[in-house]
Formats: sequence, C-alpha cells, structure tokens
Amino acid sequence: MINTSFDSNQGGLSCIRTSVKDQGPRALVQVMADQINGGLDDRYDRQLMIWGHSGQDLLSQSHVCVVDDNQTLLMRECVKSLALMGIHEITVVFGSSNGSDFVNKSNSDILGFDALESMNPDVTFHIWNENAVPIDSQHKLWNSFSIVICLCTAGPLLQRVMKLSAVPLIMASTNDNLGFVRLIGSEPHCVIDSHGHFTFDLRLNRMWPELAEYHESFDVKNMSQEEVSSLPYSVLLYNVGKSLKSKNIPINRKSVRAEFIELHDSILSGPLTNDLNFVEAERSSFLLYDQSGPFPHNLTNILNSFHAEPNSTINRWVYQFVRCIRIFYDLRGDLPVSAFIPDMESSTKLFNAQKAVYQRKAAKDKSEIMRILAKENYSLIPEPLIDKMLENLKHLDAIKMGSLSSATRTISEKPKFNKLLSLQNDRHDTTFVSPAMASILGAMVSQECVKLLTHQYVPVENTLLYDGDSNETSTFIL
Amino acid sequence: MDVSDVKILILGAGGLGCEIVKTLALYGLPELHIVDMDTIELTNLNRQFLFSTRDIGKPKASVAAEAINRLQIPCKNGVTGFVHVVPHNQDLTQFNDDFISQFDIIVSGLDSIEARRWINFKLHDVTVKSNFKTVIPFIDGATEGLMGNCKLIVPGFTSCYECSLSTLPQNTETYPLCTLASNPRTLAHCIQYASIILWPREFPNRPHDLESPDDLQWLYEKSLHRAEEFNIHHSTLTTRYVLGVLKSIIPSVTTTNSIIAGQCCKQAIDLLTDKIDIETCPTFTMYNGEAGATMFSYRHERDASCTVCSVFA
Ligand SMILES: [Zn+2]
Repeated sequence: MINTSFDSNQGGLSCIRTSVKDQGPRALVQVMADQINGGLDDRYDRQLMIWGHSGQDLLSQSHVCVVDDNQTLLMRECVKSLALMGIHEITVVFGSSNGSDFVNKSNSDILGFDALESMNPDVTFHIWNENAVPIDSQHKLWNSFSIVICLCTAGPLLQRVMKLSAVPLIMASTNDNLGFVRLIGSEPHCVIDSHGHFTFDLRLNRMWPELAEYHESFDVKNMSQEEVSSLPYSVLLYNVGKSLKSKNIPINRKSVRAEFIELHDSILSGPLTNDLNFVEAERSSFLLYDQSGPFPHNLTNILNSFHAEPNSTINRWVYQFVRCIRIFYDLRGDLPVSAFIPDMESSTKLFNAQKAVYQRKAAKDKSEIMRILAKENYSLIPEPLIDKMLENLKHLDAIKMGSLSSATRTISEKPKFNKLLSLQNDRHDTTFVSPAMASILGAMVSQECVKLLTHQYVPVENTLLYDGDSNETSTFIL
Repeated sequence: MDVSDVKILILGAGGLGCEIVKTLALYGLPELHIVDMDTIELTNLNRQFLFSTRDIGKPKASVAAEAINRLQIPCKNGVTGFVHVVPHNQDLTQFNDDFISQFDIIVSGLDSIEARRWINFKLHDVTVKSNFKTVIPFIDGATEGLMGNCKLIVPGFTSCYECSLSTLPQNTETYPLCTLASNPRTLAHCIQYASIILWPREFPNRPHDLESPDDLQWLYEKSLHRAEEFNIHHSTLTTRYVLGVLKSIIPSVTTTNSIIAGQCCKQAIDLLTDKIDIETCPTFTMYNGEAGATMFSYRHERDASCTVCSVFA
C-alpha cells in the first residue's frame, strides 16, 4: 500500500476536494485519441478539440464546390468558413447571367477573393465562370467534388446542379429574414461519432467468467475499513446485487439504496457521503438493473437505412462494420465489451487490475470482430476506424438525406418555408442579403458541410428553416 | 434611433470580435470602437480571419481596426465617408463612465466572465446615475464548440448578465486530494499531482507559468515519472496533454462564432431600427449545432435577488 498520510486521519476516503479545472473525461478521451493519430497543428488546435485529427484529416483531403449565380455575401461567408476550417480545395463556380465574365477581385471587399485566398495557406482555390466548366453533369470534374454547395435559386446553373446525382448536395438560400439549408444525397449518411451523452456499460448484470471471478474475489463483509475504502464501486454494486438476490428481493432503485445503506453501516461509521466509492456506487446503481436490451436502435437504424451496400467509402465501412456487430451479437447475445472504463474512486492497484480484466475481454471481442470482418470480406476498413467505432457503438447513426426530386416541394405546415420558395421562384431580388443573415446562414451551411465530410456530429435531417423574426430554427423532412 | 450617427463599442477582438466588427462594418455604420488587450497567436488563425501569420505578436484591436479601415468601406444610410474603426489596446475595465456613455450599443464577444460582469455592472450603474437618461443596451455573445448563445441586456428593462450566471455550465471537475496523493489512476491525476503538490514543494515562491516551455517540461517529466511509478498507461502523455489538463482551453470554430456574432449584430441592428420592443421581446437566444442546428429564443426572467438589477424591480 502506498503512503496514505492524506486520508489516514480523516476516516475512510473522506477527502478534501481540490477545485482544479478539467475538461471532463470525454475531452480527455478525445485528446488521447488524437495524440495517437500523431501530428499537431497549432492553427487548428481549437477545432481539433471538436472533431479531432481524424476529422481534420478528412477535411484536408476534401474538395468542396460552391455554386452561385452572383458573388453574393452568402457565398463569400460560406467560402470564408470552409477556408478557415482547412478544406483542402475549394472551387467556386459563378454564373454568367449577370453579364460579367471575369472574377471581380475588388480590394475594397472585406470578403473578396483576394482576402479569402489569403486566409489560409493550406487551401487551394479555383474560381470558375460557369462558361468554363463542362456542361455535362456526368463529367468527371463534378464527380471529383466531395460535396457541392448550391446557393443559386434559379437559372441555368441551378438546372445543371439539379442533374448531379452522385455527389452529396447542400442547397441553401436566404431572403429577407428567412433562410433554409437542405441536404440532398443519393444515399443515407452515416455518423461515426454523434458526440452524444457518454455512458458506460460495465456489464455488472451480465458478467463473463473472468469478470465474475474478479468480483467474487472480495470478501467485503470481512474487510477492514481501509480495505473497503480502496474498493472500486463496481465491487460494492456487485455485492449489493448478490445480497438482494440471495434474499429474493427484486432489484430496483429503492431496494438497492436500502441494501447499500445496510452494507455501508455494517462496515463503516459516519454518513455514507463520507465514502466516495459508496457515493459513486449509489450514483451508478442503475447499472445493476440496466438489463441487456435488444440490439441497439441506432445500429438497427443503420442496417435498415440501406437496401444495398452504400456507395460512398465511409458509409460502406460503417455499414459493413455494423453488419459484423450484428453477426457477433447473434452469436454471443451481447455487444463487444469496451476497453474504456470510467475512473472509479479506489486504490491504484485494484483499479489497474480491474481495468486489465476489461481490456483483456475487449481485445478478445475485437479479434472476433476482426475474424468476422475477414470472413465477410470486409478487410478494407482501417483499423483505427474499427477501434473508434468499437468505442462509439452507441454514437453511430444514419440519417436520411433529401432527394433532388423533392427539392422544390412546398409543405403545407410550413408557411414561411413556402414563402421563401415562392420568393426565389419569382426571381425576387435575392442578391441583397443582410450581412447578419449572410453570416448566420453561410456558417450554418459550412457547418453542415463539415459534418458530412467528417462523419462526426449529426447533420440536419434534412431541411432546416431559420426564421430571423423569431430567432428560431425548425427542421423537417422533405 | 438615427442609424446615420451611431457609435458602437465592440468588446473583444477574438473569434467573435472579428466577426462582429466585420458584420457591423458591412452595414456601413460610421464609427465602431474595438477593445482588446491581447496579442495575436497562431492558434487564433482558424477563426480570427482579420489576422494572418505575419500579424503574430501584434495587438489584436489595432490589427482588426486596420484590416477594416484599409478597405475603405463606404458608409450607408446617407452618410458620406468610410466606416471608421477605432482600436483600444487595453484592459476594458480601465474605461471611465464618460467614455462608455458615448456609445449607443455595446456588443461583446469576450472570453472572460469577469469582464462581462464588470461591463454589466458599469452599464447598470450609468443608467442609475443618469436617472435613465443614458440607457446603453448590451448584447453579449458566447460560444463553446458547436454551441453558443446571444443575450440582450437593456438596463432597467430586461434581466441582466448577473441574473443569468446560474445558467452557465459548470466546467470544473474536482479531485479528492487523497486520489492525487495516494491513489492516482489516470494521467490527469498524475498531472494534477505534479502541478498542485510537487510544484509548490519544489518552488514555494512562484506559481508555474504554463506559457514557459521549461515549466511545462518540468511538469511533464514529473507527471511521466508518477505515471511510471503507478503503472498507469502513459504512451499518450505529451507536454500538450499536460497543457490540456491544466489549462481550461475552450474549443472554438469559425462557424459557431459566425452564427452567434451574426445573431448579436442582427439584434443590434433591430434595436437601432426600432424593430423590437425591449419591454416584451425575447432576450436570450440559445444555439446548438451538435445534432442538427437548433436555435430557440425566450425572454429570460429577472432574478429577484440579483445584486445588480434588482434596484429596478
Ligand atoms: Zn440582474
């Protein structure tokens, strides 16, 4: 046992809490994952905390095309955000219907092309007039884009974009105080990490033999106060569950709490709140009655979203991976175990021992998943992605994209959306956009673009209406 | 209010500040002031687009003002001349009442809660002292990652910044000292041990400076030693990891800043053009882009026990 001078005179583990700042376990997991991926770039430091090196790597391989009739402020705001975030290549295509065939590189423009081009040395710009790009929508130029963003509301350029079928498309426009963003694609979009609320599953109610053996190895009732204080909370939970079972008492919030107090008071003096491992155990008592459910809804959703193997690479990898998880689940009756466990108030030695039990099982489950992947001929998925998805089973998802054929459909419950569509169909003056609206909408468009490119966070499903009169958004499926 | 003769003070020339001054300049407003005491760093450049690598080390407010002034953006609303931005490279709490009273609106993109509390108190104080002759609306933007909010505060008419402090997320995690001293289990525990126990023991007369590479290296080595001693997996431990644990760095991206700054500027223009009724309008706008893009607004209720604005109740 290591020096315990800090707690020996305070009874159990009741310690002074220091108020030190921490970014929370999630942020640390993210930092750790990123460190593994190597290189760091100070320019992107603050956004790496949002989507990590894996997300930034995808951005640095992307080519985004932004199409607009005129060189509107909305287009400039959108390109500005894309450039700052480090999209590798940006192609701007603008229309010739307004008579000007040349790119207006005016110095007096705060978001002129000169300014945009100098914002980030990592970005390559191409600026094209519509007459200079191939007319054929099937031309390989169009297929070289990762995403096309279309800000046109009418005219021949829009007609050409409407013929693109393979590339994901983001359409957006704004008029007066209204704006919309719509995501269109030929197949659903898979999310690798929704960054939703993080929950751990310690499998306390469905243990594998080694985990059960480990938990059985503690004779809690015959331990000294100090020994009990050094136990991870899962051991306490296990004992409470076992004791309830032996007494034939059903496991629920109330019975667990009563049993806890009994266990605590039989060994330790003072209030339960003095003993941090008991406090943590009580907070996590749901792990005892959290039954292994059916196959998770989010994974079922991914399998049901595709009628055949997805075309885009990452979607295909996610789909293949989830298929293998399903095969594993059908064989084993459970999901693979995660190698990550939450920190538990306990002695270093016991915590490390317990962590090792989980890591051994996680490694075993992973090798079985690898075997299934190989058997199914899904051997192209990169291993870091497999590791990431194994840690993120609860945060994988698929969303449905809109279709080109519904792009101009109105929707009766959304009068403001219909108004916006009719304004653009009337070729209303769309060239004037207020600077604030352009800033808001341009950034929303680029943010959705980055979510699609990184497969992180959940994109809009699939049409977003921003209402600047009420300062609210609404989302609906078209 | 007459938009042709308007003066706006922008607090902060960081991610939000650059966006705010750009958007207000594009409205062709004649006179904008911007205050910031910081200098430009490389990590600013993924969102503070008025700066480039050659500006590193220069004061933010001056470089931002110069970036706009150089472009000679014509004023609108019948005013001749160009948009003029006046920089103040200083601590905003050094401003006196007369200076602050000249502005029609104050828009803030600050990163410090204390500075916001100061300006909130100051504006309420000015309102009381002038017996409601000087009421300066304060529009406050804040972002973290893909989330943000915009608050409209009109002294005497709405709730104030102080009233909303309880809605701020608690971003601090606490560790029991005995965990650090005896039972470390994570790298964060080892780093905190090096920082709050070993450092003061070795250097009782000075706190560590995370900007100093030597101090950081010392903390890194002690953390590493601690991790080795306790058999804690440490292949991910680097000086950057140490910095990440000890310094609360807020994740930040240009898109969220653009959205929140745009929202703040829209509120400012709506106020100037009398489009909103400060007695009834929604005052707080919350935004979350993590799942879809949700924005909603509501009128924040005044906290009856607020030490700053309860004098108006
Ligand atoms: Zn108040």
